[in-house]
Amino acid sequence: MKTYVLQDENGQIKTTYSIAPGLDYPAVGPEHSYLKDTKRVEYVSVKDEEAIEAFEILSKTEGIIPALEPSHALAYAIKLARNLSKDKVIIVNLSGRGDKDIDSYLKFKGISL
Amino acid sequence: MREKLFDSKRSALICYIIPGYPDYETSLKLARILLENGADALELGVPFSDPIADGITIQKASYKALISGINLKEVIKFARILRKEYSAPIYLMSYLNPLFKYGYEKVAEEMRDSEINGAIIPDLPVDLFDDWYRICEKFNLETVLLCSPSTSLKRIKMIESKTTGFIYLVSIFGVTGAREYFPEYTFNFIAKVSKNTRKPIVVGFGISNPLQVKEIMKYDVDGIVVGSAILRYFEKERK
Repeated sequence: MKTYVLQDENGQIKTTYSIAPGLDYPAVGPEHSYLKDTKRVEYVSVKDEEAIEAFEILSKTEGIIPALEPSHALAYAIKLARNLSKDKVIIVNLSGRGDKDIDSYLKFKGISL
Repeated sequence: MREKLFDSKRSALICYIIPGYPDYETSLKLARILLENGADALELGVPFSDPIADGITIQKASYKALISGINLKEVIKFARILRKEYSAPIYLMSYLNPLFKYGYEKVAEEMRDSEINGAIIPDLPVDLFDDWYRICEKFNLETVLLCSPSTSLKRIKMIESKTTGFIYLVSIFGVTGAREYFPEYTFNFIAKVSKNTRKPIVVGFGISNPLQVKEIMKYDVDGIVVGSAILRYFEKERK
């Protein structure tokens, strides 16, 4: 089983960056590579700003602080919902809570308490 | 009777160096010095960004070579230069991804053309070895597989069946790096493999002094690999 890896033309693994620590890794689980190759799952990317915005929206509207990892998924769900009719249902897997990410959030916003 | 390594009557000394460390010219000189002073074979380390099996000495050296621009292609070129001057066996020590990215077929062809004997790939387990095995067969390269003190006898047999060069015994639970002495389990492990295979066996990781080698040689070992100790000695002498 092989997996997708962020690498340069010589096969050297690249260093990574993500505002979400759980995504700060140059590869993915091989299951994801398999799901991509079998076209069961379509993968998209989301920027820091968008994830932060989704983090704020869910916190303010639902009182739930999402982890920064699923905040990426929420950001995409919000984007996707704009193009769907109102009666469509979207399920987001909120895989973790954002208490752990408050420091990262404040740093990103340049807020000091 | 076990097959003999390099058709030699005595056990082989395999020296590990990294092309490009501390710089290209010096590493070439080091290779020549080793081959002219008792090394039976060379193992050339391909610098890699994630050297999971290596301790601090090789990690640092590998990183230095990597940022100086040494890659798989350069290491093969390095071997080709040595091959014009020496007939001693030369192996590549490379993690899988650089080989995979380069393409098995392409790298094997270039290895054959440069008369490199084979590649040691520490992160390619026997379960996933078939593709590389077929390519080695096609390009007449030796295969080398690794086993560790936790490898079961059943797995050692699997490893043996895919080995055309030698079996590389990782002496300890841990990474490369010079050690003063080995724990007891190292010798139990070597004895176990030695008794249960007909393929040549080579012990590596942590070998830094003659006493360790003497102990290892009690178990009918065909060769040893010394790497970090050479790099460390070399650094000390340079200073």
